[in-house]
Amino acid sequence: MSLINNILYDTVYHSAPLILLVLGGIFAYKANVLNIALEGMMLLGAFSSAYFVLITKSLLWGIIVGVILTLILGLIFSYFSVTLKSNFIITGLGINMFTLALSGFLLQFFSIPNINVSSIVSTANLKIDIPFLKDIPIIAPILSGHTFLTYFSFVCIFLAGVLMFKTKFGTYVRVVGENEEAAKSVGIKSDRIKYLAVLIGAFLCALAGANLSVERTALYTNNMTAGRGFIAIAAIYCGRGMPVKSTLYATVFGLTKSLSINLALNAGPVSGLFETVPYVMMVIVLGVVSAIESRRTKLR
Amino acid sequence: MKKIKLLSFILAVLMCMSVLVGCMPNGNEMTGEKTSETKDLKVALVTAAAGQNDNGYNQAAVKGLEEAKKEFGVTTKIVDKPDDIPGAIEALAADGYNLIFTLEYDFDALIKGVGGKTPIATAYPNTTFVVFNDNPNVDEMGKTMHQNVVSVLFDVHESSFLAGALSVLINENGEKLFSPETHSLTTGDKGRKIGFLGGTSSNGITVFSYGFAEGINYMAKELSKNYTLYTDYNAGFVDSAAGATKAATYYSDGANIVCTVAGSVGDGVDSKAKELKKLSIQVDADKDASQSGYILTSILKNTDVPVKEIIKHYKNGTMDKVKGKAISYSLSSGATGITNLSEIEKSITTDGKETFENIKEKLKEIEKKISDGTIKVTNSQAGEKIDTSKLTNLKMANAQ
Amino acid sequence: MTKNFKERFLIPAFNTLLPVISALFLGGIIIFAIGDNPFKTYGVMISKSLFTVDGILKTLHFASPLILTGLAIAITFKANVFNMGVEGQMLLGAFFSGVFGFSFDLPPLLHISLCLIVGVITGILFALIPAFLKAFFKVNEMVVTLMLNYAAVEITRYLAQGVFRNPASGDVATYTINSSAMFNKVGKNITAFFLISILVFIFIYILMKKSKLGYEITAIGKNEEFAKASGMRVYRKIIYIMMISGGISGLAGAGWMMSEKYRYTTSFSGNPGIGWDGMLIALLGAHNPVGVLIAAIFYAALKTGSDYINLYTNVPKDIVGVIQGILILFLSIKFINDKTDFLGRMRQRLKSIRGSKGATRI
Repeated sequence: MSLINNILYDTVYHSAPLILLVLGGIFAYKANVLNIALEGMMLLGAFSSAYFVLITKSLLWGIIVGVILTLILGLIFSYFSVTLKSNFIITGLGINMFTLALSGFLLQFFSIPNINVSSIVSTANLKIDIPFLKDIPIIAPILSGHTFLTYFSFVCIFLAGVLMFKTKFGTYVRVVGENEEAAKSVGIKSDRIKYLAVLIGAFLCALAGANLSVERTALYTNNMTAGRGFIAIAAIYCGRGMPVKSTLYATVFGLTKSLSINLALNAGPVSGLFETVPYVMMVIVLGVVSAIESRRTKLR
Repeated sequence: MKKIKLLSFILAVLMCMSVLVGCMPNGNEMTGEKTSETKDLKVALVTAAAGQNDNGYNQAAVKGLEEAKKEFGVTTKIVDKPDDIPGAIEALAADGYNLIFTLEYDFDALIKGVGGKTPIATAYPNTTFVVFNDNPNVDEMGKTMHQNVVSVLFDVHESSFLAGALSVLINENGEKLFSPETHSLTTGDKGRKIGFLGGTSSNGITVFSYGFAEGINYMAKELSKNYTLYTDYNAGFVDSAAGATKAATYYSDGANIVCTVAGSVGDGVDSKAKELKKLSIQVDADKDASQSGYILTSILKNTDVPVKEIIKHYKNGTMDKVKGKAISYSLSSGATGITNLSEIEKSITTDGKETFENIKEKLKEIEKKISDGTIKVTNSQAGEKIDTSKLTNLKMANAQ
Repeated sequence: MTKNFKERFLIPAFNTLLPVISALFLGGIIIFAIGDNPFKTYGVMISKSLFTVDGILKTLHFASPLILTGLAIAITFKANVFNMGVEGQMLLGAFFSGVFGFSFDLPPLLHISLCLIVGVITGILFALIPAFLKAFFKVNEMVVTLMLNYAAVEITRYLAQGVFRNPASGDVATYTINSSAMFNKVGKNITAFFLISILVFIFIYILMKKSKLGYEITAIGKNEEFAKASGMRVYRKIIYIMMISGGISGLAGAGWMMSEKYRYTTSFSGNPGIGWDGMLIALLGAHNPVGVLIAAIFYAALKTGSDYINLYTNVPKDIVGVIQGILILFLSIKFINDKTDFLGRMRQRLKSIRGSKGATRI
């Protein structure tokens, strides 16, 4: 029983930051400025929120400053890729490189090996137990005992869906992405839409970073995002930028990651290969879905 | 007195030079002149991938170098995690550094020579190279290959043995030692589990885990209890959040103590231990205070000790004592061991103080037995394999 | 001065130099801010990596695998196929050529050639997975290749600490390859591997510019539906392209193994990795073989330069990384005067809107 509980709990744990990243990436994706800097933005979010929690001694202020700094990074990204019309893939890779090196340098400059905020933030107290639900088996580990941003990430799926399909902004984003000239001709300020799409991404990336560092472990360590931004980009491509579908792929990754960690407990030496499971599973799921879809289009 | 020694040293170097110059290619002639001109000892340190502010292995060595700089007035240079380590070593040697410490596992170009090149150690015979954690300076017959290479080894297997024994002692007395408000430890048979997380599976990591396992087994046998050790060697060194969830699976399965040898992943595990009110064990530097009360102890590998000592040897002209040798730093040297437990002691309840003192006494006893050879610990660094059949009171869940 | 000269040389030169100068200027301010002398730092970097024979040869040596991974990615990008899996193909190629290198003792020339072939074949086989998935099930190859990179990292690590482990090493490492499988160093660094890279470059140049396949690659890249309609067997071509790309990636890994690393460790590819660097290089070089060659050498000079700064100044290594990041950021505006429309073509293909231009070019 506890194994299943652990698996389910960890699935939510591993999925939450990915979901925030995915939702942060889909608007830019739909607006035709693929944000490959998700990784770098998340890293800056994780770093700066942890650092400013340490400085301000306040969780809230730390996250707010972290978000503001990441938004500035988002502005730099959109200034280059929208206003200066750069090759935004290169811009994104540059930003990834820049943030990784900068955070490493700053740690060295402050002569600390990591940012440890456990004296300010108690991760145990940040977990929100939901009354009634926390006693129901199976449902409890999924729905109870998580942190605020984790819950928020799931709420965001709904919000992103509404924003994308039920608002003028969402329509504009999609129109700009599909045909910018046409969008311009009907008076849509395409550059402004793209800026906003990137900034939404930066905002959510900062939260994803904060979720990983201050909220989950009360700790920032060098390069702690460990490639999550690229997993998110893969999930976005799998789901073709649709909020629910893309986040589902992110959850598949979270689930397999959790499975591989929890099942490795008694697996013996072969457990080393379990690390490949999440990645291979993404390929298999996508393969099956694509195969079904392509058969369906053929039948039509 | 000092001046005379220095003078004689320089004279000796000059004499060596003049002999060598005759049979050396041009490049080295330059080097020789440079060394004698600057008249002081130039020491360089090349850090491993974790970098100079890792609060552990690399940082301690940097600290040792800086202390030596103050004490002996040597010129120092730190090269932080270069992409091309052999290239950096060679460039430093060519630049006239007399003593080069290299902390990364990258010895082929230095010792054996690769791609048809002469080994760097042969090309720069007047430079002394110091390598760590391994003794690559022997050929297949066990003969020393280069007289100007020093290998430094730490007997961390013995320290890990102590940590393992300590873990069992703490685990058995958990209720007495800690208040249930600060620590929620699993009791009884369900709690007789201990975890070990390694970044990779290599001798540099198993040297910790084998010793740790044997220490657990030793103590478990003495107390006639049966323990399980969970091991995972795939935690990597970077993803502290994912590593923390690995530790969480151990903790939720009943383990009270997890030892982590995996760079910054260890910091994530400490944080998890605090969250779940359990205990963790750190490595390399004394990190007990970073999550005070939840880090049981740290297995030390004080790289500053050998760095300072070797510089001192060089300065005093007693390099013959270490040159071409593999120096092992044992428990008694102060370069390895476990912390003095003063940090965790702050969390011990007043009722538990006496038990804790007894535990410390017990550890001293074991330390003595290790030092005099009564207890023999498997040294994975020296290529020894653990004999699991001897671990009568320990089940290795992921036998490796 | 003719207009042609201006367009062909002056504008590109300006476009390249301006971002470099602005990035160096910004970096200079940072170096000054932390209390070092920017002129001295840049002086060391430039004089050591560009004005010494050793420095130039070292740069070319480090450029060798980057040229290959850059080309491997460029050729697929040109066809609108997004092989992001060069890192993984490179790692596996390196790993198995290394295994072949330490398992056998053969005459040097034969051994080296066989090792290279093993690397190439491994790369091809690994690239065939996404190629077949793409051709038969229409699975997005970008996702597959991206994911398989991570899988390759874990698989090679698993093998290096298991079956092929060198028990004498303290670190995770395979045995060192036999000297018969090593490229001999000429001087301090460079080996014949650089020549192989150049040969592959020439081969790819001819393939892209003069051959039928090259023409077809461009046609598929421009408009896949049209290519299909005109009777081209697009999916078969895509499999060929992926095979070429995988083979070159495998070669890059094998060559790097035999000319620099000599054994597989978990840090074989460095950070961010030869394959990832290759992606950046392919983009900087605008998917054009000559552009890739220039970008690879430029990027290698940055890498060796940063090691020299590390060695001869007190500027921290990470600051060099910061400056590199800024430099890449500035270069993204326009490095080589060409339109590199990555996402536009990608989306166009995903949507398969026939005849429509899709997104605007960026």
